[in-house]
Amino acid sequence: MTHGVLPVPPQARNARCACGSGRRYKDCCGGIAKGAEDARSAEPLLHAAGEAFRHRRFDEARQHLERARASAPLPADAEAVLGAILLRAGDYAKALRTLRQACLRMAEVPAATVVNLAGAVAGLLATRAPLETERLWLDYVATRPRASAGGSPRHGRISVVVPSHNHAAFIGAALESVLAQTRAADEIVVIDDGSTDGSPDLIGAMAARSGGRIRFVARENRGAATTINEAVAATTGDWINILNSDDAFTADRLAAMEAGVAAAGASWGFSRCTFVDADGRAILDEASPHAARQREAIDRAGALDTVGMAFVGHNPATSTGTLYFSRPLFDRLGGFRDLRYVHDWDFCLRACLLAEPAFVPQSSYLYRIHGRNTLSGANTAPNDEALSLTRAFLRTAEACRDAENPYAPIPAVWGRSFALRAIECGAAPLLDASVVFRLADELLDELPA
Amino acid sequence: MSTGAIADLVSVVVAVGADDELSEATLAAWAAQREAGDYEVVLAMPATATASRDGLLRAPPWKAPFRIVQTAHERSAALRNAGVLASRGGTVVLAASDCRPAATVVAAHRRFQSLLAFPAAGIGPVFHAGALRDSPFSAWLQDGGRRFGPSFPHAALEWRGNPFHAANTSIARTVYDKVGGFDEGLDGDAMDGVAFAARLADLGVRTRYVPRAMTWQDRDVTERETLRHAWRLGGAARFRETTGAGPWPWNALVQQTLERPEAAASHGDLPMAANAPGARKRRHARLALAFVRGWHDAAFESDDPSVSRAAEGPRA
Repeated sequence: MTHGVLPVPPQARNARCACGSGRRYKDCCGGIAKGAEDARSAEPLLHAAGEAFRHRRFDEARQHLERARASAPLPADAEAVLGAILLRAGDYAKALRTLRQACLRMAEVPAATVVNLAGAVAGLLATRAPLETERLWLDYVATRPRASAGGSPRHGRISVVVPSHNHAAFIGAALESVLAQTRAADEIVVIDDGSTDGSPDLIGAMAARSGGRIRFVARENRGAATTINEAVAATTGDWINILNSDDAFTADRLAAMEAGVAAAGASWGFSRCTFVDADGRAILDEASPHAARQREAIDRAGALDTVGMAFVGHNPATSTGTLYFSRPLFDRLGGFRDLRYVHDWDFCLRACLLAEPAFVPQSSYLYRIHGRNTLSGANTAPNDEALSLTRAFLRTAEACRDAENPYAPIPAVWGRSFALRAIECGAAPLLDASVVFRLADELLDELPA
Repeated sequence: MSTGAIADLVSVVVAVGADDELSEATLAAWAAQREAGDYEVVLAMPATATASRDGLLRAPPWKAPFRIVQTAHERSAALRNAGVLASRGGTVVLAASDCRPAATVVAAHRRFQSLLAFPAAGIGPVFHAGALRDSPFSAWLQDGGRRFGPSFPHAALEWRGNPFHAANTSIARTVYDKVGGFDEGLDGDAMDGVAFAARLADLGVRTRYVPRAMTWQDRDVTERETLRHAWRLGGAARFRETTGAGPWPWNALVQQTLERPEAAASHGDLPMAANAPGARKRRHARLALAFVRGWHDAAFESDDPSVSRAAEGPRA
């Protein structure tokens, strides 16, 4: 079927074509061999290109498309395919021009084309954007707080809060690890969040033996975020460290965090963690892709521009338990929002706008991966919630002009480096298309004709 | 920490081969590192390179952070080892002589290494500078990751496994000592790096991308030079096989008959500019051919062969 006017493409290429043929858009007007009338003579080449592309013979597809373009303008879809091939070949400038041109000719640009365009943008920004913010980055390095040497005086009172929910097998070890700290917690508040596995009895017995060091409340289930907020509200300390009921501290956890965050002049921070199994044995990268991915995300805190920038696209803090924050910061943020899976990441992203976090490289938190983790199973809800959070943060960051943190991970501070890192961190599909188009147009202006 | 290493000192070790370029701009950039803390630059060069050494010693502006170490050998492994052994820092940055650093390189590597709880190698990018990126061959070589492993403009997007190169990489001195340095028995420029990377991986040392540690390669890399490099790499691969059981990543390639890659290398008669995809295919085939020839030749030759033999078409 050939059309004089291209119909508006649907959102998905698998959806029914708007021309009324009854076929899928990709097999009809969206097919790369279909297009405007003036492309008829190039149709055999476009067909051949489509065939080659489907079989991943990219060089051959590119040759066909370039020959077709020599005789007539390519249909927008075909131009987008050519742009994707150029991107794959590493020809970022040509890819950028081709993909942007395709986007301008599309009534509605498919998400995949925007992602490819973002890839071309990142390829070109990689050599430009970091130099644009070199001075700021060097200032950041010069002014970052340094962890104080050992033996520093106390910096306020530390409260440990433990939200407990159906972890009877681990709660004993968790509380023992708090009681065994080399720098003792000034108070320990435990709230059991409606456990049905006998946890309240175990905790109650330990609290009774603790000589008043553990304050314990058991009540009906209200969710993790609410429980943490209630527990923090019940504390009187200057600094808060959460311990999830299936995890544990190393003996020097509080001493390390006090030295690395409070004594270093930061208002919040986080540490590395060690991934352990149900028996407390360390989990190697090979045994757990989740642990391997998370270790890489943590390493980004050291590799990327700033610690805060490492939160764009990933959560290097891993868990609420690795966080160490001041009570005033918690109060200003209004505590944790009621998100099922990513309340920790959401807290960190909001905190990044107020103050730059400190990163304590020492691993002092044992994060247990076992059969009953909140994130375990094939459930897609955690991923969906994470995507939703990232999308919302990217919008907030784009609009934010006056963050208190002078190194906040937002475009107003880091310019194009922010978009570069967001794309590098895999957030390209979540960026607003208008942002990608604007960056592409800026680069097109800068590139030699 | 090795005996005498100074924890807060970063040692940049630049291996300068007898024929390598070491421009004033590169030296000036190493001398002008910002927020770098204490650092030194150790220039390791063969004793035969007296002209370079004398020239450097006569250049007072570059004197402050620099030290020169001479070796009896010219191979890159020997130069790197001599440089590291003469260095005093707890963190070592391995650098190529033709890579001009941005002002942030030492600061970026220092920061990365200071925030590690487990040892890792920090890999910085090496970009082709300015107009050099316009050369289709340079773009193909660098952007495709064929020169340094990862494709730098997209390294963070496409990072897979533990790619390694010794042109702009930081490791703790303790890790270097544990790995045992570069294998000086291996010829072929990058093969000592390949073997070093394998031993790093055996120790469980991960590699990570450090994008702020930017360097620029001002020198154009010719196809002829690259073919020579591939030839030597093939020979080194053959030697490497004698040091372990394998299987090796190049097994499938070298088990082909020579006719197959040679046929691919000579395929197509269009000029490169007129047939870009075909040109890339031919380049790839020619590199593979040079590698396979190096592998075969290493079985019965020990002398350095002429470049032209690897670069030319099929032998009779």
